[in-house]
Amino acid sequence: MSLHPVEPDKLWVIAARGGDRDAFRMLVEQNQRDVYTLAVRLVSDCHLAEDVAQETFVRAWRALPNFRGDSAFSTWLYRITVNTAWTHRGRQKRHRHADIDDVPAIADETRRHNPGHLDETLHLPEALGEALNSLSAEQRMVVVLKDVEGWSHSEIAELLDITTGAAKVRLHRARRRLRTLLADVDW
Amino acid sequence: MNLDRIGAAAASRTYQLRCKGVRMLLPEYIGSSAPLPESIATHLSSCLVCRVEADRLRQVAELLADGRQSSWTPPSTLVDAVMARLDEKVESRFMGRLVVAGAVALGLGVVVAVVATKRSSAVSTAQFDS
Repeated sequence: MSLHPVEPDKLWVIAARGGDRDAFRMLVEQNQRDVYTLAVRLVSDCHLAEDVAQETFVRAWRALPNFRGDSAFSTWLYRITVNTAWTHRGRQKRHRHADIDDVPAIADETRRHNPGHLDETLHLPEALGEALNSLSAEQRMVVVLKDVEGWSHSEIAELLDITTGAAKVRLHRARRRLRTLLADVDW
Repeated sequence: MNLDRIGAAAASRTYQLRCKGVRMLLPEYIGSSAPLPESIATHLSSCLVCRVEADRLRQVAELLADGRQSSWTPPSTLVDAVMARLDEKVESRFMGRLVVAGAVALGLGVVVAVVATKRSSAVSTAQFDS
């Protein structure tokens, strides 16, 4: 009989499910970077992302007894992160200090004169970060989940509790909106 | 907007796409795994403006996909903050239940008192009338 190696995460998960806080702390330490990174992408605000990451782990702790292990722990945690970011979307602010992609601030004056487009002196990578921030929370979420994270339409639809068709339409509109926002950017 | 239907129409060789239609459909295909319909590919081969538009969308898609490689360093306080909140949550949930239970008891008490007062007042009035 051969012994199958058990993933370290699984051992910690089993212990944490039994209420072992040290084991859960290990899980938080191991997954904090991925959870925080996803949260930053989804909410485009480092402070809010920290709240989302904290809330994600707190929710995970409470839900651990129900975690059946059908998927990897990290995948399960990812879903909680997206759900948490979704419930926090009302708190998202339009901001100029987005650490995401180190985007430089855009003067409000420029925006006022040219509300549908971004500053034409920006280059594409910086402007894309700004354009993402300009999308609605719902639109940014589908773009990030599909085009950055690589989720399928059906996975996005299931998570947002909409039909696959609605997810496709929302993504399509978000991409077109991004393209419009980037119309005047220096390519 | 039914993208599947429009896409299916675009896939048809007989469907002659103009610039406006192509640009509407491009975000659906550029950067995705879906194959570009022949009608769109044909249009792009003969229309420089739409080809530039497709290239720009492709650049955007590539930049977004590149974002997958980057990561952000979480605040050094995150782990401790999470662990502290585990304790706080338990306490606050308990306190929350206590407050709710207290409020319900108080509400019931008020209702009982009001009903009792009304009844006694009704009895007094009936006795006075008789």
